[in-house]
Amino acid sequence: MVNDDNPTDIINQIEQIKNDVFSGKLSLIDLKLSPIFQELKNTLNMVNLIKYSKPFEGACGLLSQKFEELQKLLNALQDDEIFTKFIEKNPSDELIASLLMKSWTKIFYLESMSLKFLNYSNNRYSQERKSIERIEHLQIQDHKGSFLLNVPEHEFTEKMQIYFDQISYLLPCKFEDLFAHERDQIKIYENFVYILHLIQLGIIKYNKEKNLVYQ
Amino acid sequence: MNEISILMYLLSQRGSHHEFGATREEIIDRLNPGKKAENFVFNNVMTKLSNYIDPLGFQINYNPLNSHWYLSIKNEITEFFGANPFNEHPSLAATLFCTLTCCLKNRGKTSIQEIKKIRKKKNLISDLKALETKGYISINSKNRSVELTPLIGYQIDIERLYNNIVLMMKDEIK
Repeated sequence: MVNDDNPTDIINQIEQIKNDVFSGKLSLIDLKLSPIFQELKNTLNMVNLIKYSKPFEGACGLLSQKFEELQKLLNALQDDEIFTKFIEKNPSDELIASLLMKSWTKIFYLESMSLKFLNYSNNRYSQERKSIERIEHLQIQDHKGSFLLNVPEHEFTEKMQIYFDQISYLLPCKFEDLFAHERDQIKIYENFVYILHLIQLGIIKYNKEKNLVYQ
Repeated sequence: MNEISILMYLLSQRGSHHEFGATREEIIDRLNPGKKAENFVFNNVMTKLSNYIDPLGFQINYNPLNSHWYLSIKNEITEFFGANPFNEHPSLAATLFCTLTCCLKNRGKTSIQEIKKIRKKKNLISDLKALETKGYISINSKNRSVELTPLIGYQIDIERLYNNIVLMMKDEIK
């Protein structure tokens, strides 16, 4: 019998049961929990309600664990051919997939937060860089006064005219349509320069509001 | 560093390609509680960590295929975010289920012929190969046998699956 206002005994009793279950000495299925609940019921009153909440929580924890163990035992006692029996009923693929998904577990693993990855990163970043950049001086060859840069085959005006002949059949058109089929960035830049010059010379015109190029 | 943080690290670590978490022996070895108290310490620490992480949506699971304890995200959260690897391939899920059924009957290993008996489908081999690519099974083409990989033990809660099937079949009887 416990002191009505002091639940220490019953707390100790519950702790002892927990310890025995944890250490494998006791199985909750073999243990009757009703005496504990009876004791709690007999001693609980309006005055000691708060003090008894902890042992009540502990007893409910044991009860819940007992139910879990009982469920596992019942499952083990049932026919272990349940999967085969289920398949023999010819369930649809969708039904099987939904059942499987209800039991699908996602592993908690974040590579970027793992100690292994942190160690790896630490080793990589703390390594001294072994390769030292070497400065190699350019070899200057004597070209006997000749210019090093290639001289373009055509004059700028000629090239601009060739470009104008190429685009004239497109006009009038949107500004971006002039570059629609060109992928080479250098070429786009070169054509853009021609367009600027053509506009400046008044050969073609550009309407900013309508984004239109015309003659 | 305390027991809980050590356990948290052990349960969320990755070993080889399909190996997550730690075995009971590895956990006890790290916690080093002494021979007499090892059962108590193991169960106590596991229960405590499980209670701590429960509100965060995590749980401790056990993989019966390689005896590893590991951390996972709760099923209801996985379902809520629709983490479904078979979303558009229910046929693949059904083939996996049949393979699982055959393997459970034969201690983790079965033959392609055995799967064919219960999964009457023309392109079964292509399904099996797709499952092998996903890492859930391994096929031995020499003796035409199929084996579950430890990964499937991590991904499917077999006990939960069993309960769901039992409940569904009971509902059908009613």
